Amino acid sequence: MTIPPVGVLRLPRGPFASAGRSTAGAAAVVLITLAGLLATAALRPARAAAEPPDPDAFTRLDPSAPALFVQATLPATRSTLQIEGRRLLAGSLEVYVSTSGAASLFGARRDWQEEGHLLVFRAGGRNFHLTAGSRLVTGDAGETLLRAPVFARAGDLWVPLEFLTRVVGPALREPVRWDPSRLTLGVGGERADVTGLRVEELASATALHFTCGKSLTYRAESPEPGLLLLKIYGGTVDLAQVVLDTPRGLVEAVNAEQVGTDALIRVRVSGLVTRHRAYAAEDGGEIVLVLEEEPSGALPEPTPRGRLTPAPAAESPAPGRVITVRTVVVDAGHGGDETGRIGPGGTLEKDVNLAVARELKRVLERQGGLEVVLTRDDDNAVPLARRAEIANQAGGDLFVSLHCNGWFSERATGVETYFLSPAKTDRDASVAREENWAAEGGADDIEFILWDLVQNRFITDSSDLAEGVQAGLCRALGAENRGVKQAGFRVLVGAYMPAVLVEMGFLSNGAEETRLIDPEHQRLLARTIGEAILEYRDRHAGADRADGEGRP
Amino acid sequence: MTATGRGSGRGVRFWLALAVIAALVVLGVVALRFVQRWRDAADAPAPEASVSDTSAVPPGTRSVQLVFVSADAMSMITEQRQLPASNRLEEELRAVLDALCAGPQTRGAVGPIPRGARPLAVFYDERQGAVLVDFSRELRDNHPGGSAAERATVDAILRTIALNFPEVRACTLLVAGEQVETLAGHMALDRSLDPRRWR
Repeated sequence: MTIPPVGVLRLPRGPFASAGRSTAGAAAVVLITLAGLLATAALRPARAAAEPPDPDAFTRLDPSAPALFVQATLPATRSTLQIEGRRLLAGSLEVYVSTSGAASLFGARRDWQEEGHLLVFRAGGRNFHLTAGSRLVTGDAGETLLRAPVFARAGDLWVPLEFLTRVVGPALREPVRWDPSRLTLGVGGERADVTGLRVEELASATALHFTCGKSLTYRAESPEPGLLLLKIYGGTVDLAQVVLDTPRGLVEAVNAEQVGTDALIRVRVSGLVTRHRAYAAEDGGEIVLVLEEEPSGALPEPTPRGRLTPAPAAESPAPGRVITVRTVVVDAGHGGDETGRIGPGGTLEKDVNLAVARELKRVLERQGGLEVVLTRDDDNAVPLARRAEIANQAGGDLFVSLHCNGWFSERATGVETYFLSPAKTDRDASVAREENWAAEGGADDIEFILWDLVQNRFITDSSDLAEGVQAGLCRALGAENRGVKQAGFRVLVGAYMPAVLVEMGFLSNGAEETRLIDPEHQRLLARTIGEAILEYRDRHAGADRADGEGRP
Repeated sequence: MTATGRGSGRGVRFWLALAVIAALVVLGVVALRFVQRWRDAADAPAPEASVSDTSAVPPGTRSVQLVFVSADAMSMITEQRQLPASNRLEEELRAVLDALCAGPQTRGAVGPIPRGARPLAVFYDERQGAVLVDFSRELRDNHPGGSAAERATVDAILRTIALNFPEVRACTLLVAGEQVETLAGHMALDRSLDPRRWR
């Protein structure tokens, strides 16, 4: 929260306090009161008419969703199974399978409790407790919060495939891969291409050699002291092999997780580690992560975060760090049934956002030679989580979400630019983990914390971009500068790149609404935001690459 | 001339008297509605408790702070109230949120909770310091939309919890019993939030 409280305020004296002095005063009061009551009554239908439609349209259960067939391959037994899947969540691409189908893949046993609403799924000596309507999976492998809930349907419980890829697979140390484009599910080893881990202890360093079956793109980073994340894009990791339980050298523990089509390797390192680098070796057959104890020179502290008033642009880019901007993902906020804010003149926010997004695409392509991906190029409802997914799949270098603002009255005006405020800061996250682990043995929502930590990596860059966009807009539009702010915007969560959300003006204000629907003004908005993006690109180009990032 | 003047004077006095009576009736209605609303909100007939007073806390009540926003969306406004005290956090939090939903008493302040929204249930897990607040569907259905408005709604709730219940370390907001992704397409609510960050 950035706004300080104004303080304790006393109740204002009622408007009737001095009304008894004269009857003329009383008459005036009556007239004013009646006018007020009439005005209130007159305003009510107008407010009701402006109510937006249900914005939650894509999280409703759709029991009649058509069946689709999931091709499951089990390399261990060289067999293929076809199981029934359904997209039970209206508007979502999340595929569900029945627990009986899932059981056939893992040779699992199912024990029903509580009349078909609670199920113990037993596979590989592990128990997983599923409850109808709940996102929480408990059991002897810990607790996991799924992104989508379990549903009861046709006498069985239906689970999102995430239950298999993120819960059952890791617990049984069996990689489970889901390919949404081909509707195939791979269960079990053999096809993993990140297949081994070798630890090499050196004088003042420790090297981790990850064996890869092919050349893979990777990125290494330290979102918080003591933790390194190595993300291997398109890599399928053998969870049984890429693991280290006992500390060796500067490494305390290693474990891996399959996150969609990428392998995410978490390396817990000793507090002595001051520097890390990653490189590809053996013609791409190995990714090496080197952890060093003594810095060869003074190294900067881990990425500063949570800057609300960033330093002037000249000193923003960390020395020696380059950011290459080739692909920009432009997100037109809302869409389809989800109209966003509706202006007093009836303007739909989704339309303004899309018009400016298309124009911004043209500006960036023509003036900057950039590749631009729109998360939507028509009037479709795209779920918020899907937008970050689109950005990640497109390999975006920047994510820019365009919105119009709204307030409870016409009073508010101006422009503001946001970047993501992580749900918790690093320190808070570790404190929360400590507290929860001490109390409950790891009942925290690790997935979210991890993603927030990953987001922290981009906070400096996001804040820098937000500053540029905000300054540009205020200069070009002469609009009220409401500032650069941080908030927990759902659409920015999960984007693996610097990400900002621009509020281009208040659609709830009549004058600003008139400007926002003017094509000339929309072009000005697009041009200004585009120029800020190109300035950001140019500002960060040119220095030597020094962070652990590689595209061999 | 004189007779006419006196006649019109009597007429004026008659209308003014009528106006005074009408004013009293309107005042009475307003006062009644106010009292009714307060009873609904706090489950206790204590109209005098709504007057802010930092010096004396009446027995059986606690002094709480409610967070509203300024009409221009630029700042937050904190109002102090006296609400019934309870030894159960659930009951106190419920009363605080009811009062928050009822809106501000400060002139120029805006209540950022959508019309008709109210807390349906509050659960508290003492060991985890975690609360779960289930709001009625109006919290989402009547939301006017826009980042600033949506942020104000979430911030007012979280900051009110933070100021009055420092022991709460995690807060999950539900709408009509279900976890929602956002209220109007912006602020992520599909996770628990730490009110301490709103202090």
